[in-house]
Amino acid sequence: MGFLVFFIKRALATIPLLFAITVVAFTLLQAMPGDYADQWKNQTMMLGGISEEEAQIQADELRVKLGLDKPVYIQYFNWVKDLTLYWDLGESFIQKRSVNEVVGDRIPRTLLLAFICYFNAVTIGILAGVYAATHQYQIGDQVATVLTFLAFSIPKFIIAIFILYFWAIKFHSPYYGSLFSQEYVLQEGWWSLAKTWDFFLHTWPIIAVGSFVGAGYQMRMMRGNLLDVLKMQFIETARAKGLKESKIIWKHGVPNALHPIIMNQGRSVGYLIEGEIEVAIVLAIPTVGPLILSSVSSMDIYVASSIFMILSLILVIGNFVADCILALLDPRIRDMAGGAA
Amino acid sequence: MGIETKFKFKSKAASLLVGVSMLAMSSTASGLETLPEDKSMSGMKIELVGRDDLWTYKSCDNYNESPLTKSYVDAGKLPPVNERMPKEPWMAKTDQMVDGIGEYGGTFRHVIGGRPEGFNWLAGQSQGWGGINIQLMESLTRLGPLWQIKPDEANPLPNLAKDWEWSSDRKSLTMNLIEGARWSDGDIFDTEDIDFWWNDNVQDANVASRLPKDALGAGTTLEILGPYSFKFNFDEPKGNAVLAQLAYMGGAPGPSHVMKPLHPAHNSDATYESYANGMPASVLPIVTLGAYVPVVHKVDELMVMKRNPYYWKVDEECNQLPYYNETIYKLTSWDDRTTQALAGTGDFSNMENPGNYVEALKQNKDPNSPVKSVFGTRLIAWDLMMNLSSDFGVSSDYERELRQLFRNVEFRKAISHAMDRDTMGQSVARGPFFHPHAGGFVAGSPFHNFEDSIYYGYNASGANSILDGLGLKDSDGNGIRNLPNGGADLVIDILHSSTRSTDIKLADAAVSMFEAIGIKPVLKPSDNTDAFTDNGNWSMFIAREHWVVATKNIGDRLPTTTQNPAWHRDNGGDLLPFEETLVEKAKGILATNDLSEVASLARDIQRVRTENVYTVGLIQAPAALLINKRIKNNHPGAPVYMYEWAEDGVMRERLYTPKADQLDEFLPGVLAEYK
Repeated sequence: MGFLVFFIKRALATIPLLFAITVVAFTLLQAMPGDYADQWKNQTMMLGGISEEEAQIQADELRVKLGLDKPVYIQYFNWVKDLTLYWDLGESFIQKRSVNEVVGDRIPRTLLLAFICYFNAVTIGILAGVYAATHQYQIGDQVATVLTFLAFSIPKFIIAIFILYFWAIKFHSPYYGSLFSQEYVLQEGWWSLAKTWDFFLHTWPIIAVGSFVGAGYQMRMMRGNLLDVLKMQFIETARAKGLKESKIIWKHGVPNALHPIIMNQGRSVGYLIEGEIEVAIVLAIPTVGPLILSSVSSMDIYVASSIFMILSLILVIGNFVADCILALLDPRIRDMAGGAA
Repeated sequence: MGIETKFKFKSKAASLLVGVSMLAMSSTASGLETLPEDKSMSGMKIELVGRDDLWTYKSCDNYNESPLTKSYVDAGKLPPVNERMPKEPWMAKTDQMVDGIGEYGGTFRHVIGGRPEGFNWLAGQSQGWGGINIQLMESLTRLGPLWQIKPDEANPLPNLAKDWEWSSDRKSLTMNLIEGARWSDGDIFDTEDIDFWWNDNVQDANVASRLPKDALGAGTTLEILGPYSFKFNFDEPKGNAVLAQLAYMGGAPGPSHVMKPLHPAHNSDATYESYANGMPASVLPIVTLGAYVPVVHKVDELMVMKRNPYYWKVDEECNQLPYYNETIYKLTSWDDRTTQALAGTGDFSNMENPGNYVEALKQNKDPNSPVKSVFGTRLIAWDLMMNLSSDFGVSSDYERELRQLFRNVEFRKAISHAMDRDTMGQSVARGPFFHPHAGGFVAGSPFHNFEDSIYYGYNASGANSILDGLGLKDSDGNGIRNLPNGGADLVIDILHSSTRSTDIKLADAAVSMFEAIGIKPVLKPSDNTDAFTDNGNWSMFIAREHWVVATKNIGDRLPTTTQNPAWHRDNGGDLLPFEETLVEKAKGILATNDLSEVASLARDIQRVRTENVYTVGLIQAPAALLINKRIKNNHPGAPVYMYEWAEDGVMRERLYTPKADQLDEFLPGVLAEYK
């Protein structure tokens, strides 16, 4: 019963949060000087070679047509109305199609890659953490620690720039700048094994960077937790009883050290998506990352606002799930929620 | 505190040096020195040719075609090639094809950052730029290849209009279309398309036509003289500027047989909205006069275009052009275009970001590199502009006083003397890329002569002397000059783009140069500088601002309209006397058909502009065309942008790849098929 109360209260609390996120996402974008019509004018002058005077006439017409001449609160109200009533995120000014489609094409790719990174990060990070904790101050531990600090300290986009330089410019790899090779781009339907492999050849930098950085984070947590657990009384007792060391570690140490890690998983979703976005922007891999950049820089406001809202929603859900797991595992949390009620 | 001390020191040092610098000033700060000549990066000499040397219009007894279209003919899906060609096709001359007659087949890969809005270019929709628009929007006249034409013959070239004639009073222009050319679905292209383009699009205020209603002059009318002949009648005499406006993008007719039934004037169920979206990006193939027809558009990823079986151009051996069966556009980002060209996964890029130049040179030295970069003449430049309007956007007495300072040519000279262009160039990219710029025409412009560019080069002490002479002393001893009579500190905002890396580096480099003359600069980066310039709310502005062709976009460079340059965006503004002179000479350019007169007026303009430091030129650099080594017939020296973008300048219909090096097509064996 306590958990149900916690669940409902926590779920209700996310609604105003999401509402606030839509306001912030929309108004922040509008706070920037200029609008899509200005960007359109600049691009048309630059790429089309027409004069500013001619471009200005067309840009003014475009502003009226897209409703950008209306006050911001009316634009926001219309957007939220369509969103809540029809689940319609608006139209992309640039692509002249529904934002649902524009974002719908890219979000699944981002989530797929983020999930792969997440899976790798957790698996590699936890195993490396166990190894480091059980080999404290030995060479393996120290190598893992150095790699971890590198993962923490080098910004992900810097690693991506290095990869870009060597992969594209030095090695002239054909697996660059798209999700698939020529023969698979226009192929519809289920992925064959060859197509899947081709996808990995194109997206490995995202997976490598995301996994590396994420694994560092998981590894540090696992190492610290396991070291703490291994110093506890019940482990001493187990050892005194003559249990095998591997059994002590894997049956008693690791499960207890995992609790804080499980609780933190909700927060790592955001971290991994953010990493995927940075790397994809540098390497121009068509996931959400480059779309965020292009939609913000060209003031394609409904696309940009929608992405911010959806990514925030994913983070909110991630945190919500983590909080629920925490409440399930720790009665004190749900009791606190119940008590407050 | 540190800054104040530094300023005090600089100020004292400056006053001690006044005597010496006044001497130096007499020869540099006020003397009319001209810009030193630049050193070519490529060392290439471009051989200019006559306007009839590139192509002609000529018939053949029999035409050859690509095996791809032949297979459609054999299958009964297309008429024979002889029946598909116009009476006298546009014919590329072999002498100007550096690798000669091409070979059919293969694919050409573009990478672009744009996305197709739709295909109704009549209603102002863009197909994604980066070469798609130019490829689809064949126009009445053509500008791109003019970079190769001798200056005294460099009037707009024929294209869909194969020739034209002016009346003796220049109040009418009769144009003759290529006869018997067909749209990609086989429909004849004739004056019905011209009539629809002009009357239902250009002249219809509800359609956002690329050519504004009065672009050829208010009161201009169209008279159809026959299926392939028409006449423009003007209210007043016109010059060849009209022909330039009939080139890409203004003079591109659309398929009237497809679009007319969708237009509200001819369909009571249609709206202007439905008309504008009448050729959506999702419904393919579309109908075009271009060399390629879009057949597949995988949104946000790829556009595949296949050869137009009715294309109306041939080579001198009567082979129907183009040579490639396919051209593709990868839809990624503009930055990625250069990266993919360097990587070898894209075939073509206009490289204009000097930050990439060093790597491009390294690639040139690598025999295994898939790409070659050809640095052209210096055609891109950056200026520091001052807001010369006395009141537009002014919101305080300080700003009003500042504007008066800007309007004083001596102050502008001082700022020019303060700019250390060599340091600026090296801060952007180390190497031989940059040359000082005096403003106005760039060094690579056919209208530029170094002896016309008056140059107030780097001379910080001279700059200080001029400022002292203007009464701008540091009266409160804080290291920053004050406005005359103990006025406010001279603190000046410098607007610049926050997204263009070169602009950012130049603004950063300028800071210490301003400090050295006792002016405190405040950088004002913005990702939308237009928002400031549109309402006059700026003082100084560092931006890419180059002028290449005297007859093109003259209204953006000189105050011939009520909107430009940026400081006159308040409907005209208060022109300085030398600006009146510039306007007079600019009008002379617009009114004449005599190219030698255009060249002479352009020289006058450059002298007046630079002598009065209309803008403070900073640095100028070459751009480079990156093109994959397997691409042939890329004419050496083709500029990234001169009269038009390189996509048109290189004449893509002539490019080819030898059979052995051809890449597999995305869609082999496929042509556009219409229901």
